Amino acid sequence: MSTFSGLTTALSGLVAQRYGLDTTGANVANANTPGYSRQRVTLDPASPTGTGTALFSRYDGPGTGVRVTDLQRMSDELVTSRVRQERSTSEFLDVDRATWSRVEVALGEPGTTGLTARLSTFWDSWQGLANSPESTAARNQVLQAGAGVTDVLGTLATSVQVAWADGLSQVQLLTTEVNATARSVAELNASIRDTTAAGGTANELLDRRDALVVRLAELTGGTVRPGELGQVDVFVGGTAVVRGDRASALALDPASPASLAGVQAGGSVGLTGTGGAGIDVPGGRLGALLMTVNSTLPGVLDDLDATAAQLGADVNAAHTTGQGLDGTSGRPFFSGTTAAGLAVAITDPRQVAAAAGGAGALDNTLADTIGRIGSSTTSPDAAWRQFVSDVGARSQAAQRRSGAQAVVVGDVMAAREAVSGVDIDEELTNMVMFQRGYEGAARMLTAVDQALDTLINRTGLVGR
Amino acid sequence: MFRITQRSMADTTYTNLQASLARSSSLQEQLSSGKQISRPSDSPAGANDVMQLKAQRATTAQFVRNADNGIAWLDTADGALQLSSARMVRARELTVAGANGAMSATSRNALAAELQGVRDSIIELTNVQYLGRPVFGGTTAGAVAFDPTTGAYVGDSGSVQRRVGAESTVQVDVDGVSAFGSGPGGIIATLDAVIADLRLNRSTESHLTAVDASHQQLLGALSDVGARTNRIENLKAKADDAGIMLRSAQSQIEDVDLPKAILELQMQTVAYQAALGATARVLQPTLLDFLR
Repeated sequence: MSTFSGLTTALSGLVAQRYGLDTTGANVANANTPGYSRQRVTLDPASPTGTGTALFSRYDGPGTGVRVTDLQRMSDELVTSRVRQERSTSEFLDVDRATWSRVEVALGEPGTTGLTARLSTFWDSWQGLANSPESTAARNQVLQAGAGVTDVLGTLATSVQVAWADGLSQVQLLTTEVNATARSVAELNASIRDTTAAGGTANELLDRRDALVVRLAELTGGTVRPGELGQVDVFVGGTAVVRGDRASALALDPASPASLAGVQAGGSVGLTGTGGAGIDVPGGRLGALLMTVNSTLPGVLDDLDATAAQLGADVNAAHTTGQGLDGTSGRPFFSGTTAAGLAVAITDPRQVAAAAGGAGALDNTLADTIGRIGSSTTSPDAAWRQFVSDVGARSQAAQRRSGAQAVVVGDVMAAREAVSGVDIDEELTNMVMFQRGYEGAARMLTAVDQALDTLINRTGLVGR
Repeated sequence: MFRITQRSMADTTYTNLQASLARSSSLQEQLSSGKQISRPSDSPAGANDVMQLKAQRATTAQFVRNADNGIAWLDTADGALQLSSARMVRARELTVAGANGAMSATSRNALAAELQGVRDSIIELTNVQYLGRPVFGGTTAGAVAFDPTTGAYVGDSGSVQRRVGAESTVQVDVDGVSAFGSGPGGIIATLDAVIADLRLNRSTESHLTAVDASHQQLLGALSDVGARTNRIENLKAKADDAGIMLRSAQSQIEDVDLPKAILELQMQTVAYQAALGATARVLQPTLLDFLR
């Protein structure tokens, strides 16, 4: 223990306390930075003789000060992993909710503009025709009401197709985002590896990387496997999109159909990884969007088509048996069998059949029969109501699941905040602590200085 | 120990305020639209019921319109038959007068001239139209039910039906043949025979039975029309009642219970204000306020 070692000890105190103050400063500065994990200085008492056990020399004085051994990043991998998982589920459910909500709003039920109202008008127009089969006005009314029904079905089919096209372009946009994010993760992995290998601290890099990995999970539902030197690998459906410092790009499967009709014909929109192998995206926004374009919207359009086909078949089955004012029978009223394709096939009001085949010219039996189709329990109306209430139930369930998941995400984020969040009170306490520590060390330095002053300048002056 | 930081408190507070606002917004929407169900997911089963009730209301309203149309047809037929019956009373008087043996040829010619007028007005009445269609002509597309000169039936055997209930139709035309007869034995042929005898200065006594029979036939058709008018009016009243009941059922499912919704909104507003007040208080102080 040298004469001046007291100065070194005080200096190590000054350095360590300042380090602590700096860390507190960094924490306070990042109190509201998303994804930031608070940091804590780890201090160790400095041993006077290094780390080895002394065999031949003994020292029984105090230690030689303090050392900053580590700048610890307060983060819990278990919590981070839950954050990724729950946020990925949350994004998945959110897209599903938005899809069903969009579909149900497009239906316009129960309102005055929905198909139910148009069908009612249509059936009423047939009853009106039954009241005056001789009237051209009543016949035109039937044609107009028929066109009203096909308009609504056509508009619905179009809005489903537009939603599908939106979904597909979203898939493409998100794929680009996934690729960009994966590249950034790989680059950060490389920086983290290099910094860690050189013995530095990569805390801020880790924060940024982890935030990006959470984003990747939100997009794809990907899972994470820790690698060497702080790196992580990210897997989507069993395929690695990030492996160490290498990222592989996802792309839209070239065999994917470009329209909803293609999916109805048996195709499906998919993604491929490097080498063209198909990737099964398990969740996240992208997974939900793929489900939207591959099953949800095609299912809705199938149901719309079924309603249109049933309406056309039911009306035509009756209409072809009747005769128009010109006495000709066998004409179908509707053409087409899909929601988009259903149209009124008759243009001349005289050709609308109100009379049963072979009956008098102004017979109204058939108009009455067609007017009653809507009241039957197996009518297109009943099928439509069933469909609407089914969509409503699915939308309601999606809303509830999404709402429940939001609570779970809130809990998980609170858990992350509990581990990694910056508490201002705590930081201020630390600040006061380090400040006092610094003051103490400085005072110590002065004391040693004074002692040395006494020794050097005032000792041995007797009799001078 | 679960650490609580300023940020986690802010997050929780914000989430709760959002939830409170969302509830207020949903109540506001219900109050301003007056509807509990504005999209199917508000109540899938309720939406189904509302759609069905709306469709039934439309159908019922159509039944009422059908009934009004049918009543107009029956009224037209009823009027024509009443007038025909009145003319037949006069025709019988003339026939009875023509049966008087002491009647001169001049007098019989005068009777014949008047009877010709009666016959012409009856043929006019058999061809009475409602909105351009002969009500005694079945489903014919022609303008007349009986040939104005020969009195032969030229309509068809179809019947005009009006639907006034899910399972109820009412015939609103009158079969011309059953009301007036056609050809030999028909009301016109009978009157023509009487007129011919009067012009030949013969007694018309032999025709009295036929004239009476024709009148009876008319009266029979008239009472039939009365019965059917009665029936269609009953069915119309029934459809009207059903419409009101359906409206009230729809309202119970679909419409907002105003006092309840207003009360809930009031409570929601109070809760929101309380949450805002608490937030303002809680988030203000930190250790900073006490360090000098």
